[in-house]
Amino acid sequence: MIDEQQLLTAWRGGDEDAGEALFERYYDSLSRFFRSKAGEQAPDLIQRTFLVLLETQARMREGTTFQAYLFGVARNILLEHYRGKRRDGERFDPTERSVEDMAPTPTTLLAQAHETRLLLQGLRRIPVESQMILELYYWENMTAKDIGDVLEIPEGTARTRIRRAKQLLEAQLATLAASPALLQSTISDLESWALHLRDALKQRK
Amino acid sequence: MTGPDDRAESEADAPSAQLAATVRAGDTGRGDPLPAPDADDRRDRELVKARLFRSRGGPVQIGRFTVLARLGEGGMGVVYTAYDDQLGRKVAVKLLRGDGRHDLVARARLLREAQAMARLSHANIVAVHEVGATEDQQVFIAMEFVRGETLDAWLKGQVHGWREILGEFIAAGRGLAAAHRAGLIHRDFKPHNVIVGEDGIVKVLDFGLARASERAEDAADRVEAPAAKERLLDVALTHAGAVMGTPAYMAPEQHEGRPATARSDQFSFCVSLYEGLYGRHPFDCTSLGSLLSDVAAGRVRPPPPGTRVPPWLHRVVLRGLEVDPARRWESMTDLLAELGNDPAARRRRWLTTAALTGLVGAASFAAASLVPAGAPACPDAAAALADVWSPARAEAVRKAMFETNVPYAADAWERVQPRLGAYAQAWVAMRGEVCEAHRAARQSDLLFELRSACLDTRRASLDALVDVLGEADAVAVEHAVVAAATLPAIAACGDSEALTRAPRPPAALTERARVQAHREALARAGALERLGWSARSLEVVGPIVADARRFDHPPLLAEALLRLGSAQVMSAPAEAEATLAEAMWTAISLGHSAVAAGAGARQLALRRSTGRAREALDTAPLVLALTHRVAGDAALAADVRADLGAAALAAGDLGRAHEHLHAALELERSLAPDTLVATLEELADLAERTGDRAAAIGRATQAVAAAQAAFGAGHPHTARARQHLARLSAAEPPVPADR
Repeated sequence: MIDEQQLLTAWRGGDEDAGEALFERYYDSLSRFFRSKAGEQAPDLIQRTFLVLLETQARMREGTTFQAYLFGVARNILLEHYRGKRRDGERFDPTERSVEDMAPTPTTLLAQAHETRLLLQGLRRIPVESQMILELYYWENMTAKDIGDVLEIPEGTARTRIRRAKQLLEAQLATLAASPALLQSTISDLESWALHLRDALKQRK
Repeated sequence: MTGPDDRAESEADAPSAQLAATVRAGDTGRGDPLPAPDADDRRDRELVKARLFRSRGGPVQIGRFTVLARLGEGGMGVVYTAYDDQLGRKVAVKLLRGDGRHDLVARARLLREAQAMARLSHANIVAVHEVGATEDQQVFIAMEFVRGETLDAWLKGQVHGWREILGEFIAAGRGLAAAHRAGLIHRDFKPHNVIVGEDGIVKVLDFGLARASERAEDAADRVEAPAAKERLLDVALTHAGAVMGTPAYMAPEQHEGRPATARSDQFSFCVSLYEGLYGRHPFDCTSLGSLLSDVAAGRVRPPPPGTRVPPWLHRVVLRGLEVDPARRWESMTDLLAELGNDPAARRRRWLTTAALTGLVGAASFAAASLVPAGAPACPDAAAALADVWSPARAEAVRKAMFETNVPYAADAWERVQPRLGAYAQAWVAMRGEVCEAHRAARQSDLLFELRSACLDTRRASLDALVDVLGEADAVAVEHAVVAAATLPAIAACGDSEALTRAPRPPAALTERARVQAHREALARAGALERLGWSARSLEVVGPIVADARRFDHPPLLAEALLRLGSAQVMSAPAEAEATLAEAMWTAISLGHSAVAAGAGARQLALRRSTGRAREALDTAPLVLALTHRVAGDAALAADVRADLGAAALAAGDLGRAHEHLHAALELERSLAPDTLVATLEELADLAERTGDRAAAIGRATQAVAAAQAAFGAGHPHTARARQHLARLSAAEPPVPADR
């Protein structure tokens, strides 16, 4: 496999084949990354990520993988996107705010299976940074070191944050699986649906 | 990239094994982490790629449309702007999510509904141009591209006065009302589904799609939990804390999972209107629980203090928000009428209506609207006809007929009005029955579609007749009674055997929609022709024949040719002969019995009326054989017998004249009295020719009586019958029957 840094350099030099190779290799990952956090804005953000990659001449730091570099760019673009959405100039803090707070259209969730849906909903409710961490960890199979590079934090801190993110998600899943009971006062059937969900989750243990 | 040791350390953390499993749920060993990209995602990918690498790849296509850009995403799917190369216009293409990969039945149903949408054409509805499926079986809908903003954005955009807001809603309501008349329910009306165009025109979007996509959802999910609630939960969970999505506009019956009706749309409309007028939702939306309990209990918030919205308007909206659908407004049309009238104007209108009722005897409307009060699950069939035959339209017809100053206009009106009323009533009853039978699974989907299409065509006939009568001239007044009597029979739409025997509509949806649209136009042409306006009928039929030849659906071609030949009879008899022959042979080759018989009968009538009695008689065996195939159509059989009788009489074949005329008379006794007049006169002529003057006078007297009953004393037909009788009574020598 040709080194991704070489591909990027070639693309910057005008080699569209190289650019396309990078695109093919990372589109799905970036799509997952943005879809779960920016909904239908995802395609635009993916495009911007690739453009930033192409147009900034910055070099990767020594020892950083291309993947970590790419997601670092993606993360900045996402945060920029969130900040742009805040009209009042209010500070956006990814360690506090969740996607749910930002509330982009959640429609893509509808098509998924129950468990997945629950999971995606849980992810949306934890702070964006925690969500990113878990997705990079589980979906992109990144190491704590890589994740640290993406977030521009030391590896040890990254490890702590991964642990913290898992706890947050588990707490959310518990709430989510239980929360239909809150609604149960008005619709009796919702509860059985929630039970069904919980069972499904148990089977996965 | 990933050092296994490195990760093992992390995986040992906390209770992460279960979490990891959950996060990777659905990872079926392909090694693909979730969520897997879907078809929308692939299309996005192509778009992004095309923008990044301009020299690469071809354009992204959806069906025959070239995608220009991604416009947005909604609950039902992604919307793109695209270019229609064939027609050189920009369109919006919506790709529906949940394509029912596992469920062909659901997909077929969705396509059928989409077809119905494609037939809707109204200024306040976003037109659907085409419906189809992509290579990966995703259903797409290509529709009119409207530049503008959604109604909710418009409402939020700046401060509007209540009159201005009401105006926008009334326009949107007209779109809904038109859809209801066509038997379509929106099911997800909300300000977000209404576009205020840059040109100021308000259009409703996404008819029936809510149900369409719901039905196409994974069927397995739906077995366990009531679908509506499950969807509710999705939305509720994803929107918790924020203002809820669609459930906020749903009618109580929809929340309960019962099918939506036109009145559910009315409820959603009123929720939206309330919100628009008062700037807040009529129900407490802080949680799903509060919303549901408010909706179920009909607890509508009082208007905010200091509102400028008048109380009468509040009352009108409240009635649309009734929990019990039966207590809401009768139809969107009624609601709109109320919304469009402040009380002063309403009092005035009330008086006019009362006066009109006295004048025309609106009993038939009342009857028509009482008929379908069956199960709420079927859309209100009367509503589907409300705009075609209503007191207002009746009054327009009456006025137009009277204003011609034709002396017998009142007579004609008295006979036309109950006929049209009865026709409307029969239509409503049949529509109700068709729907009920389908709902109770007593008839196949195919038959349901055939019967519905048949009824749609009948409605077009009635609509056109009323329309044309609304601008009646003397000719139209003269023809009005017969035209009303010869509207194509509603009963034929219940003749399952004949319907299923007739050639099937094309399989492709867009073609089917096109055929149906043409059929409805042909029905209109028929109405024009019956009112004596053959020239206008020709204008309508010409292009249809041309199109039918182009796109190769022979059954439609045969039907169009029949109509064309029929309209040519007056202006171009020679051409008519050729056209009718082509119609007949085309129809025979297709087994299209009704058209073959109709063309044969008209050819016969043409020959007879142009003095070619012998030629007319020569066709007798063929035409009789053809009419035998459509035994259900007594009117056609009677016409054929009457024409054959007249031809035989003209040719001097008195024996056959006797045979045919009596056969005609027999058939006509079961039909309307106007059909008897001509036959009785022919019988009088026949008796005269055989030298039986008494019998001749007897028949002529009967003819006068029949004409009086059918047309009234002052009508030209009656006058002619009286002259005939007078001539016979005056004992003049018989004149040759050369008429």
